[in-house]
Parts: sequence; structure tokens; C-alpha cells
Amino acid sequence: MENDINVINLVKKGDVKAFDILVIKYQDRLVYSVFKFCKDLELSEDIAQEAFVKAFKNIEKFRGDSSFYTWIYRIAINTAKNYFSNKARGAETYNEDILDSALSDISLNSDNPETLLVAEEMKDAINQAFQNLPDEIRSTLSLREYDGLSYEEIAKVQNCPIGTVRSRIFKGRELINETFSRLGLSKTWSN
Amino acid sequence: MESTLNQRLSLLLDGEASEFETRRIVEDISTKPHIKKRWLEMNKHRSALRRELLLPHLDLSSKIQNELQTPKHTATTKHYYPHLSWVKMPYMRTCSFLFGLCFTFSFLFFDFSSQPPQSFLQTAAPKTLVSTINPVILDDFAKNFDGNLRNYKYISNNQIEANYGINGSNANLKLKFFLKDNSKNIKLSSVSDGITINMKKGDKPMIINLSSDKLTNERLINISNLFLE
Repeated sequence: MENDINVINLVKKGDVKAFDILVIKYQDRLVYSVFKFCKDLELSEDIAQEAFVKAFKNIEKFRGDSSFYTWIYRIAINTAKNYFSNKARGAETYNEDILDSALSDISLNSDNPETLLVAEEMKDAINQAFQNLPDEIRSTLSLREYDGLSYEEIAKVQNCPIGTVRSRIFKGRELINETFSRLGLSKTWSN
Repeated sequence: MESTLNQRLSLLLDGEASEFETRRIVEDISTKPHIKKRWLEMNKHRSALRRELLLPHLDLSSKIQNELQTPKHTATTKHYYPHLSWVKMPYMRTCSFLFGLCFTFSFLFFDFSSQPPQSFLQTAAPKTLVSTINPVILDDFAKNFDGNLRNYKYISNNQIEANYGINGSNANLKLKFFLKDNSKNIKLSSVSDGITINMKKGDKPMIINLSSDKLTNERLINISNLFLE
């Protein structure tokens, strides 16, 4: 589980800048999750944006029982459901079938096929870079990124000091970043 | 230098940065564009690694920041009074409506001519005491002791807590303003240390508590004198 408690505490104190950290951290994941639900890129962005704003407005209600992402994911999915409910109601014949068809009939927004393709290339490139990492670094980074273990848990699993875990993860990210820069892919983020 | 920065960002990404370090990085990311760019990159890498990346150029942060900066969404007006939200408490709305209805009818059927008019005004539109403290004043006040307002929050409907940084040092100063209603004998609940002064804001008694992790009591007294002046 991601631990964002320090950042969230700042947000609870009214620090809008701290919320920016969370937006950047979870925006891709949230848009991706909403897209799986509604199959429209532009709409997914709008819903994710609205979910973030709602999350900020209701941050006091976040008690940390679940991860921040789980919490905002629920907000986003409810926002999407409301959107489709209202859309179905707009036809004045709302029922569950109409809602279901609204969800299933919307086909993939084809305005951005190139963007989707670039994203696929990115994912392939980064996974290739990950596979090329030295064994120890790759296994440590894998426990962090795919299994979601904390540094302390990884240290126990790998029977090494927590400082070693910290430096391996950092080194892994640096190596991936270097590969990206070498391939000229880093420009993609800032374009 | 760059390596240290990336290490700090890596810790933040994994939620392993300490509270103090988190505050520092948040400040850095919000003020230095190259650090924000690096933070964005690291998160894009992670999303791509987890195969959750759809739009490489996606960055909602500025749009969301703009939306949050508008007055209707500012934190200070928003979430400090969740218990007073009419939307979330429909039963209160119903009670208020019924109360208002009874109140209106009571004027139609009963004679209140002996009542002074201002008592009606006070009952109908009670003013929260805290609204008389303008947050801008909190910011201006920092100039008196070479500090800067870091944040403030409403502890209750008549209590504000403000946190200041002292320029040129890592000391902080916490001020608690408490406006006391004449009719109620409420004590400043959370004062446990520092300097407390009693004064008046208009006709209302006001208590101000100053505390700090590093400033001496002598320095706190000097600052408190600014209020008395």
C-alpha cells in the first residue's frame, strides 16, 4: 500500500501545493482506470480531474483506512457512474438497461490513436530497460513496484539493511532514466 | 546535488520520506520547475513500468491547481467546517426550515412589540466571532517579527491557529487566537506552553497564545508586545 500520509497531512492543513504531488503521482493510474470503465480518453481525463477536485474538497474525510489511490478511485468511479446515470436520465427513459448500454456502446475514442501507440512504445521500452537491470537491483525494484512492499519489508525479504534497499531502488530508477534519455524518450514527457 | 535530489524524490515516490523531508520536497517541487519536471518523469516511468500509462503528455496538475485556487474551493473556506455543511446534513436543513416557519408564524400571531429590535437581529443572524479575524492580518503580522505565514486553520468557530516560519532560522512560531464570547466561559483548550496574553478585539475578550519550538520566552514576550501595542 502506498504511504502518502505525510503529504496528505499537509493537504489537510490546507497546503494546495502538496496536493499537486498527489495529482502527479496518481493521474496516469486514475485516468487509466477510468478509461477501462468508460472507454473514452477525453471523458476519462475530465472524470479524473473532477475526482481530484472532489478529493481535495473532502480530504478531511480521508482517514487512511485504505490507500489514497483506493479512496480516489472510488470517487472517480462514482463520478463516472453519476455521469452515465445523468446521461441516461437525459433521455427521460432511464433504467438499468440504458445505463448498461451507455457504458458498453461507447467505443474507444479514436481521436488519439497515435498517443496510445506512443504510450505502448513507452511501456515496452521501459519494461525492456527494467529487464536489463542487474539482478539484485531488478528484484528489489520489482518487490517495490509490482508487489508494493515497503523498504522495511523488502529488507526483511532480502535479508539486507534498509539502506541497501533504498540505494538499489534509487539506482534502478537512475538506470531506467539513463536508458530513456539515451533513447531520446525522456522528451516525450515534457512535450 | 542532482543525485541527492533524485534520491529524495525516489523516497517521496515510495512514501518513505520523513515528515520534515516531505515538507521540504513539496516546497521544492512547487517552486522549482526542473524538480517538478523530474517528479513528473519519475511518475511517468512508474506508470509505464506498471503498464498504466495511456497518455504520455498527460498532466492535470495545472488545471486542477487552477480550479483549486478559485475562492470557492480554497481549503480555508471549505473543509474546516464539515459539520456545518447543509448539503451533508439534510435533517438540519429540515429542522431549520421548520424552525424558520414557526418563527415567521410567531410574528404573524404574537405581539413582540415589547422586545428590543436588536435582540431579534442577534438571534436571526448570529455572527461567528472568528469571522472578525481577517487572514490577511495574520500574514501582515509576520512582517513585524521578520517571519512568514506558513499556514493557518480554524480550530473551531472562534479559534484560529497560525504557523509562522522565522526568516533566517528554522524556528517556527505558533499563534493561537481565541475570541471569547462574553456569555460563555470557555477556556483556550489546547494551550500548554508559551506565552498567553489577554486583550480585547472590539468588545470581545481575545486570548492569544504564542509558542515555539526554538524561540525563547523572552523573544515570545517581545513579539506578544506587538499585539499589545
